[in-house]
Amino acid sequence: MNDAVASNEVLAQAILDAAHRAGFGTRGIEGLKRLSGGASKETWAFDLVLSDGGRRPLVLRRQPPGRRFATQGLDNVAMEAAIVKLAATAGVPVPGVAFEMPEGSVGGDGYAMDRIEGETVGVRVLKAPELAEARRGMARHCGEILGRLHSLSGYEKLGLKAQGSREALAGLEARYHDTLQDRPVFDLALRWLRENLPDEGERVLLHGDFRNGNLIVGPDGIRAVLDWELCHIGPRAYDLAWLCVPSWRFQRPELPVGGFGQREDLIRAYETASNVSVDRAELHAWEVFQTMNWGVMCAGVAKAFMDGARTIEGAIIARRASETEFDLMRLLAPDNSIWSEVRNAG
Amino acid sequence: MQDKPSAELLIAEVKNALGTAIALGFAQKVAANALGIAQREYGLAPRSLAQEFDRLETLVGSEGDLAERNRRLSEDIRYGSGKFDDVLVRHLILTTLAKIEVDQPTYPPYLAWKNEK
Repeated sequence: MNDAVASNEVLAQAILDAAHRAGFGTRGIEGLKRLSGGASKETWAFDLVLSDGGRRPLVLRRQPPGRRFATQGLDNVAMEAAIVKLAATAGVPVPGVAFEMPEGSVGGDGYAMDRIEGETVGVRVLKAPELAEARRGMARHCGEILGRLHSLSGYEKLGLKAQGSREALAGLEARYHDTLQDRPVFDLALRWLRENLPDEGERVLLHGDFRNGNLIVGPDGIRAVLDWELCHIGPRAYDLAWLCVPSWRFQRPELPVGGFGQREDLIRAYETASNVSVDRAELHAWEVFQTMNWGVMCAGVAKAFMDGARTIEGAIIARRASETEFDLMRLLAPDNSIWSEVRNAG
Repeated sequence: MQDKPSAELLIAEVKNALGTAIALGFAQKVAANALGIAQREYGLAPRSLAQEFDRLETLVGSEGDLAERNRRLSEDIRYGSGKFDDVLVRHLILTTLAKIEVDQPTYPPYLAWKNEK
């Protein structure tokens, strides 16, 4: 028996123990399989075989024991389960939480949720012919989901990080300086943001990473919102703007909302669901913020590469920082005559 | 200025991967992508970096190499007066276009801009 098989059996037993503790009568688990996924978290698919012979298809999302949690994210995965359950109460589509891994489990920190069929890969969500009808309604559906999420209360006791616009901007600047790179375009964007990002407004419960790529989509539309680990409390426009960052439009840059829809559809649905109006200039300022935010993440990967975390994938992400500089200059100086001078010369 | 990792490091990393084992399919494509960046950097950057270096002289003076001039430009913008000078903005746009032509000439928003009427 090799190590991988042995560790899979340990994990399978840990999952079964957690299911029993949560009150499930089971015959066992079958088909345990690692899914590809996030850099910091693992996801595993399996079927829980119930005492009556029925099956419940589940996914375990976990932080393996001993691995450091993402620095920007929640303190633990159990907190994420609590947020997912809370979001469900507002009608946000999320996978049902089946059970959590008890503290100190050899399977790590995590929770099991319903396995929902559908497409999650951003490029395919925008391309699959069978999702054409779903795409037409997705900007509105996203607005409705975010409007509901942002109207939630009851998160106050969860101990989430709260960050208003000034703190968010200071954090962005600090993370940029941590990369030890001089990027005049980022400095220009920061200066523009200091003048244009609106001051403190109302703070709400944010998803924190709401974009095409973190949604399960079927022919009927968005079936579930995933990856809640960057959830925090902050300004509404944070989530709306992140969804509109050019990099998340993949091959469809002409459709500003996730590569599938128009801003006005997103905004109108959001306003209807939340009963709060969206300031277009504020949304634009947050789009500048979020575009730079993705750029700083890429620049951070460059720093990690130079510090010794050498992978080809890391190198490619590092060299994607320049796409955000292009997008920032388009956002900050769209009318400069140099654009057409270069294009006409080229 | 081109970002890190440099063309040389990109090639070194792909060479490393080829020396051990490289999975068919996705990993192979990523490696080819890295070599593409390095190839374009060797082909295009000498000219574009020289142009950037010259433009920087107008903006921050003639002292220092490319990295030092960019550092001074960053600081000028950071602690600057607050006006977006046209010479500065034109320089940043030209520099950004030269970078993306090396890093990712097929980036969809860039292609969409190029094909605008």
